[in-house]
Amino acid sequence: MKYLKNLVLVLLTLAISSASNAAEIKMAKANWDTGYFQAEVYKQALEKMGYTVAEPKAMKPSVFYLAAAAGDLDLWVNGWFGTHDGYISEAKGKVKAVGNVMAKGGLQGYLVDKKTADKHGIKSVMDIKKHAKQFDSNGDGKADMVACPPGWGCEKQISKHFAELGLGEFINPIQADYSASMADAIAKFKNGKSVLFYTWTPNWTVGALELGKDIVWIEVPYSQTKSVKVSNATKSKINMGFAADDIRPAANVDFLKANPKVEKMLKKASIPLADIAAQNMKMNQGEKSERAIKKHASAWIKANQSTFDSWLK
Amino acid sequence: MSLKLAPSDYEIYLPIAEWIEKNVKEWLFTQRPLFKKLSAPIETVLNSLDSLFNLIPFPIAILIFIFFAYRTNGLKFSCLTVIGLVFIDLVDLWSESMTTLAMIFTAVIFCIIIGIPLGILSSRSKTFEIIMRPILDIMQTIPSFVYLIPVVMLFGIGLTPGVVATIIFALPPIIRLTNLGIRQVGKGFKEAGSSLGLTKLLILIKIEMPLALKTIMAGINQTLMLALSMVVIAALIGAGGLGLTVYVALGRLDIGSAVIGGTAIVILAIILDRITQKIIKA
Repeated sequence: MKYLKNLVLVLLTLAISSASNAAEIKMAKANWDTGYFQAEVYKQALEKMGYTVAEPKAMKPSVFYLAAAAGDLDLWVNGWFGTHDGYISEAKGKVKAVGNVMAKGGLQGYLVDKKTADKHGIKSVMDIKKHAKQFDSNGDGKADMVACPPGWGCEKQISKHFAELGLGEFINPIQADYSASMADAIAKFKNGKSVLFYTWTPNWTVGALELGKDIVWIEVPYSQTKSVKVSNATKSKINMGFAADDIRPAANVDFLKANPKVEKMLKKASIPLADIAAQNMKMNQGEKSERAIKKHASAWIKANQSTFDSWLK
Repeated sequence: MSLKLAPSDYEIYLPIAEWIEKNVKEWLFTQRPLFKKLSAPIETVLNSLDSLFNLIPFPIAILIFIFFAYRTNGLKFSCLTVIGLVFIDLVDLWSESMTTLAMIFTAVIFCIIIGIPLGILSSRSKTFEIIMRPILDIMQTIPSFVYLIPVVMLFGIGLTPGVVATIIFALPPIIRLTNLGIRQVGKGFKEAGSSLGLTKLLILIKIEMPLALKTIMAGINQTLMLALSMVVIAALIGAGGLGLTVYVALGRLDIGSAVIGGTAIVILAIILDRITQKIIKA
């Protein structure tokens, strides 16, 4: 009994002494794993500046912006703007975007498997109307589409598409967890069925199904977005229905005021699109554990040491 | 914390996750046609129950509930049942509730069909019981998120895979309690049976099963409650109903819908629990 008491005491002292101090930065990261790498690079930059940074917790945008507005979290580097513009306005000036991780880095749109697109001449989402049965698996006569789960920024944009273009008449957006719906789409594809889904890049989905070979972007003739040149689409210039997003850090305003050094660093820092794509490719090939991602981040910093150091000046 | 004490500090790493990812995942994708066929009976029962429940007009559904509530728990409980169900309808969740009910009933029906024979087998053979025990432990303790994605790969997305996941989670108690119930039947009863010249099968049907019925019913009650607790998780893989209401509300931080969806689940749970509990005691 006496030993047990001592043991508990020792463990308790250890636990208290190793508990985190109050001055650490509370960082979050996105719950899509292609954003982990950026988060890790920025985390190491903050640590280099002398801050203690708690291991970033993965979460949905809706939760992050709410927590950041309340001051429970300080920042993340996985903001997608314009998609997340709505969250910033909901935060009523308590959260703002600073700098750019990757300007115009985020593509979003609707995709169809190439085989079906070629066979039925599907170039635009409106062409699905005639071939809805092809994409129907629950027998309601409407095409099933992997859409955005509730709470993601893209959900709002997709509902705007549905409202303006009347897509609801022939497309049924699946309401389920995104990974689960995508697992279903990939299984359908591998069994030779047609698939219709929303995705964004950089992302693992375009690793599982290869852009241009397995799947192609299709046009969404939405009035608020313009046609742009896109590779691996049904035409050389299509309207994606989404503007290319800037991937930017977003932070609590009070936190930035208290830590001007951090704001300065966020304004300077950025990571080239090609490097992020290369890292995402490695993740697609199986190196996707936390440990592997940390290694990728350290390797990137080492290879770009002078750029990295210039952020901190 | 710079001491290197753990094996992983020395770059020793077991690539089990990578191995599963590489070999099992591809295999899962190719097995879909087979598993689609296996889940066909579940789909049939589920779809017919779903359309039946949604077809029954509201007053008749209420009357059916009142009948069971009154028979089992008396007047006071049947009044509460009516209030609860009218509340569900007033917050516009009636059809979602019926879908959820259809899902739960289907899951319980299949748990009974699969579980009772397995329970009987466990009560017959010590070896079978020893083999079953760790399997049941795993089914009860493994986080359902682990098998959710494989279930999607094999069965697709929608109500049926949701029911499959629910069955995995809700099956153990009925197997355990069927086994327990039969094992608890006194030796004297069985000896009396065999002295009357009954075969083993007849002893099982005429003596052991009736005497074990209360325990088995307790197992069904537990299975029912576990099935209800899977409702929200099943919504992650596209099962509709009340779970979807709560899941969507969770995603949008819509506290209002989350509260009414959650309340509707609680109302269903209380009604089903009280009714089945009383059937056990009767």
